[in-house]
Amino acid sequence: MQLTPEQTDALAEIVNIGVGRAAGILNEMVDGSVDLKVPSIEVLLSRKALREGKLFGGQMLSCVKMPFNGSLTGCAYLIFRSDSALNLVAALTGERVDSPDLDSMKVETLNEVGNIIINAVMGSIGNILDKYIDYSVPAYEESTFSGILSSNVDDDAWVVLAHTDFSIEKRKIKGNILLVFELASFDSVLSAIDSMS
Amino acid sequence: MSGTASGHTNFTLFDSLPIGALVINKEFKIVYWNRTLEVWTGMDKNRIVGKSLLDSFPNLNQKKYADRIKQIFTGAPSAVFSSLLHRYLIPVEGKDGSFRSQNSTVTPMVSPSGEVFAMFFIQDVTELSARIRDFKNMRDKAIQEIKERQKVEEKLRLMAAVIENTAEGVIITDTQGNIQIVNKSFTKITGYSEREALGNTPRLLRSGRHNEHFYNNMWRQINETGFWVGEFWNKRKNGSIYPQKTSISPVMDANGKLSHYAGIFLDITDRKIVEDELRKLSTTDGLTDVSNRRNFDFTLDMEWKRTRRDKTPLSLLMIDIDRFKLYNDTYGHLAGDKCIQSVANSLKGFANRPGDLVARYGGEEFTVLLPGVDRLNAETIAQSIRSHIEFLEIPHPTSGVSKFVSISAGVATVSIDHGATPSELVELADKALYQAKRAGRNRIYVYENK
Repeated sequence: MQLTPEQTDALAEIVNIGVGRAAGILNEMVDGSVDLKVPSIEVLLSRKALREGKLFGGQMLSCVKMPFNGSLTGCAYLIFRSDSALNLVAALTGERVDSPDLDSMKVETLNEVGNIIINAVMGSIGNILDKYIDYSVPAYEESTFSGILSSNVDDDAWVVLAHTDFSIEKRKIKGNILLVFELASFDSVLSAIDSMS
Repeated sequence: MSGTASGHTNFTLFDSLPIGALVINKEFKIVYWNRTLEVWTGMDKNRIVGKSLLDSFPNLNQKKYADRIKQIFTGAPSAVFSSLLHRYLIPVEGKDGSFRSQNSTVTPMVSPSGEVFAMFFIQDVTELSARIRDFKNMRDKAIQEIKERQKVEEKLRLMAAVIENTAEGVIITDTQGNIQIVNKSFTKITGYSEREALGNTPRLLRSGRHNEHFYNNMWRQINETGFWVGEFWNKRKNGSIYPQKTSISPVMDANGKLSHYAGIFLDITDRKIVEDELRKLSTTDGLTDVSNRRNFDFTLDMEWKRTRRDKTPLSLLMIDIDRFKLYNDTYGHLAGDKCIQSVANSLKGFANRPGDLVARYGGEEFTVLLPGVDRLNAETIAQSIRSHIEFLEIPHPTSGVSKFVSISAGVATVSIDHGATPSELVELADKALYQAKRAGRNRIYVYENK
């Protein structure tokens, strides 16, 4: 299966709408300028291919993940490299980057940021594509990329990878939104997109 | 509204929970308000249910709350609000007037009739946060203390290293004088190892050259002025006695109470040797090894004063080698020097009591200072010297006085009732010498007091 440029654009548009809403919320929270952009979106063949690829090398990552099912089944992730994660927490809480407290604030803060972004993006997908989605409880995880991906989603699932650039005050922080859809669910996403146009 | 009714019947379960719980419908109307919230806010559920959440709590109008809550009704997952980023959703004043910290979750719930509600679960984490904050403060304080202690320890280590390796010997005693600390140089100078020194007192090193009075004075000064610097003689483990320069000071503890004494000392044997050498050089005549003119003048002054104080006599012999110029002309300067040395050696043999002084006064002229010797005895000594020199039988054929080297001597004695000056004594002895020469040499002349 190969996505048409129109399908990819539409998917990017939907993700962007969600990210835009999340940015508005974050902006208010940090009482300053938060700029959130999705410069590129990639649709990758399978979870398996991604897991075996060298996307993040063997680096430790901080991740908020939220499995979902219903009319769409899969899992949504917000992923940061560990140093980026600390940078983001420092920016949001006003702590110094070298503060020893940052680590203990990390889980709670990233959980909420993940909640805001994933909710906005998934909300956008559910709304625009008119899908009812049931969500599990969000979870925070620290692991390598392949470790994070070993959830019970099939290996032939489709993966939508949205590179996300956070710009908070003067900090530039890179993150990734990862949407994993089971094969049938992704078909259903694509046909919903096709029926819109 | 059916939603409200069904909400009421279903949600009363939450009344017994120790967390705040409330439910709103799509229009943000409150349909349920639990007992915990009644207690926290003082708002009775009968008065608040049916009202708008946003009217009752305008703070939730902000996008960061309202937008995320609205998403719940359009199919978005639960929203979490951390106290780290928001402090609270429902303002609850604590006893101290500040708002209590809350962690909140807002979850969608679909009723059997298909209506979507948003349920708020609010956990009060004020105490927890305070405990975490206390813990952090405690930890920060502990880290600070550790850092400071490390700094102090570093400084102590440095100081200990300096003390251990300095060239000066160091002794630290307790207030009773028991040795607590010594350094490497202490062992090097005294010969006693650290183990031998510890527990002993510095008396271990006493040379016996100073009396108790000396030490008592020293300790009095240390305790009165807080410092003593001086030189004294100590004894090494091998029994040899050496001079040391020492400074001793009391050490006070943090409360200003005496806790230790610290002594720092330097073996000044080498310096003493040099000093003695220099002193000898500056007071001795190089050729004859008797005193030089300068030392004679100095000693005469001292003895003069003592004579006046002790009311004892003081005699002076002024001695000249007869016809020495002719001796030099005959035998040369080298032999002349030897002749002068022989005479000087003889003189030493006649002035050997403590206080006696032989000095080379000029080229072939000597003085012999005899403290405590009266005129009669001075005359006898002078006679003995004269005959002794002659009996040396140093040939002097050109003398014309004797076949051998001979001397003339003038004797002068002062006693207490004679109000003269030291230079007058020299003058009188000189006059007497002149008389002896005029009378034919190889003889003595005693100056008679008028």
